Amino acid sequence: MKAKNIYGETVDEIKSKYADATIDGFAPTLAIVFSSITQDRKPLANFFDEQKIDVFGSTTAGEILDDEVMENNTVIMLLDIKKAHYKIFCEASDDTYKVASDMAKFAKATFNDPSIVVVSSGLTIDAEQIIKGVQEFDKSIPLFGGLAADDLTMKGSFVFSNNYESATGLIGLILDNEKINVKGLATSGWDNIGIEKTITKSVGNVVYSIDDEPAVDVFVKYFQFTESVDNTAEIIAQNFAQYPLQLTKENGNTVLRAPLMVDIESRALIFAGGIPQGSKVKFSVQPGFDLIEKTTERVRVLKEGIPEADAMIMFSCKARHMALGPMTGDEAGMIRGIWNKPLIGFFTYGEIGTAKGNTCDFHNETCSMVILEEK
Amino acid sequence: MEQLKKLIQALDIDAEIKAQLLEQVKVAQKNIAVVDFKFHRTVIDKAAITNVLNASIEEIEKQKKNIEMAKNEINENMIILDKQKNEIEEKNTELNIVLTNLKETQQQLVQSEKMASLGQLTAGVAHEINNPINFVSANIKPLKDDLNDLVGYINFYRNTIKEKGLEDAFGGKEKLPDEQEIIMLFGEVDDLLRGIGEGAIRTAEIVKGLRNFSRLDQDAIKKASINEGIESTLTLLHSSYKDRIDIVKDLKNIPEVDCFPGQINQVLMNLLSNAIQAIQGVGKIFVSTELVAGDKVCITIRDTGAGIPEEIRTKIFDPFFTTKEVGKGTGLGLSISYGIIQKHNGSIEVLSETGVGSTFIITLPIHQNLT
Repeated sequence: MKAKNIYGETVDEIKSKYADATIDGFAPTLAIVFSSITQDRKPLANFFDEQKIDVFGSTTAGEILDDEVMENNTVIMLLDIKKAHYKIFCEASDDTYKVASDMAKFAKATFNDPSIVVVSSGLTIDAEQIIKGVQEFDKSIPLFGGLAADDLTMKGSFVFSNNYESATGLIGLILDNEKINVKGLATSGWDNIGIEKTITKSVGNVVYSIDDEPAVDVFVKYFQFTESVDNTAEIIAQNFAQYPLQLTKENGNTVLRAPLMVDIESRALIFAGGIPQGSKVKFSVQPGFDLIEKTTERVRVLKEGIPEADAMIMFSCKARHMALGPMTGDEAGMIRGIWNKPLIGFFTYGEIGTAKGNTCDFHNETCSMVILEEK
Repeated sequence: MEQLKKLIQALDIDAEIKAQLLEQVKVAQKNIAVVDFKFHRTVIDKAAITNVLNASIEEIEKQKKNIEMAKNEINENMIILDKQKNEIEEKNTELNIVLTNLKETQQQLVQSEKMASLGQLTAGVAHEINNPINFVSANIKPLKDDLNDLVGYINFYRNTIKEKGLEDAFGGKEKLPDEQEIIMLFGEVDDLLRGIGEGAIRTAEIVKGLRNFSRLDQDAIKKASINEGIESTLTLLHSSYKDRIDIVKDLKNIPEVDCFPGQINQVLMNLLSNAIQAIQGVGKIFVSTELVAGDKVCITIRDTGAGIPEEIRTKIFDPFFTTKEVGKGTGLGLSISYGIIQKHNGSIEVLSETGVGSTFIITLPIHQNLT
């Protein structure tokens, strides 16, 4: 399998770069497309459809291509993977669990031993239901992915394919493990700090109070360093998302939950994942500036399973982008350097993957890597 | 930086060098951005960490104070609980003592009632036997006198027959009783009468012992002879020790003591019975009395029996403690005896050595005011 990366700010620019990429006879069958919410996705999807190329796409909060971090752009990985070795699954429904379960059924019906790379809307979907839906059907199916983002506008994020786009659905890239070697790892680096606190009132991913104090007031007390948080979601994200809550779930997995939005009226915070009422949580702080080296070393472990990769997909939390700033590209570059093959990724509103010592779970603040190699 | 780039662009130098310079500017630009970013992030993170840690310290201090308060409260409660526990334990001890006393009193009452009934019965039996045995005792001497008279008459008739030669009238000399036979016959009758007399005396002693032992005066304090009590008790127990146990008595001349005689006899009966039972086969029981310190009498009963093992020596006065087989002992004898002696302001102590024997020493005041 060969992979080539292209990018552009307009459809015409992308068409031009596509032409350059295929001039040598390279004939891609699949395009992984990560695009800013500002980009025009429809004509792009149509263009790939005309080329008989399947599209696996998601909107972003920043794009990653090899060692470059971009904004308001579209990044594309073209793969000449055999069509028999993968399938695209698209479905939208209010019942995320059912959609995920359908996706797992489809995967098992298509391949004896499938892996799933999934992208879904980041604002309307409970990602834990995706994992639950897949694992309760067959927990042996490896699952990786990320939640679509919208450049922190918090208005709507989308997943899309050739003739499909949804703000409430998901897209699964089903890979045949017998033909494609797929490995993945989610790694964070955030450290917990301070004493344990109790979520005294929450419903799903909306936390109303922490230790009987309004959730917003608690975060404002500790983490408001810029202007008032009462106005824009972006300010909330910039101020608070880098200080997620760490909790240990009933299944024993330790996960981070970052606040994404605020409900000013109820002084509640809306997190990028569920936090059950009664949970014991701790605040987390951004890792030191050696995070890039640490992450690279953790990902390097995957090289034992895949010594020679063909392509890499990175789902990195938007909060990491904010925590690493101008060094974010260095992280992508160092990880890419492990295999020295094309890398594509985007900044997400949540990641799906397996952290060291855990089972597959929904995370925030992580870098969830997927490494592909056609056998 | 942009101005620097423009300046480099404007320079009239080799294009390769110009490109290298521009690349270096780009790297420098990124490095400046990184340093700037790191500085700002460090400042913010420091503030965030400080806020969280300060709040945590504050919370920990608060929790520490709460824990201290809770600890103090617990300590206070512990003191109250300890006090209440002590009070309960004291009450419990008091109740146990009261319960033990009640049990002992109950047993004593039961025993006293039994003894009273037995005493009445014994006294009745003794009284009824006393009259006929008196008849027997009183009639022995007249019977003896009559028999002597009868012997005189017989001798007279024999001498007359002999002197008058009247043997043929009685069928010949050989038909008449031989003189030696008559002497032997009278000797046998005399022995029989002596035996009857001794039996009557012995019966009278037993009756006296029964009457003495079964004094119907348990509820009234009286002056009583301890020595007499011992004698009576030994008389009553005679059948259980005769032929195998030698009773060695050393009963000094001691004054009568103020007591409930029936109860003291009960104690003597218990101790002497135990001493007899402690001797398997043959042995000795030493019984002595003496005056002590001018105002007390001391009764010592020592046996050469099996002795009491050390591990149970402290329990022998406990109610219901017994080493006897089930059904053969109530375990109340010594307990009741202990209670009776205490009630008489006396003391009872035991010395024992396994395989050698046991000694019970009772000390009783001669005078006392008992109710």
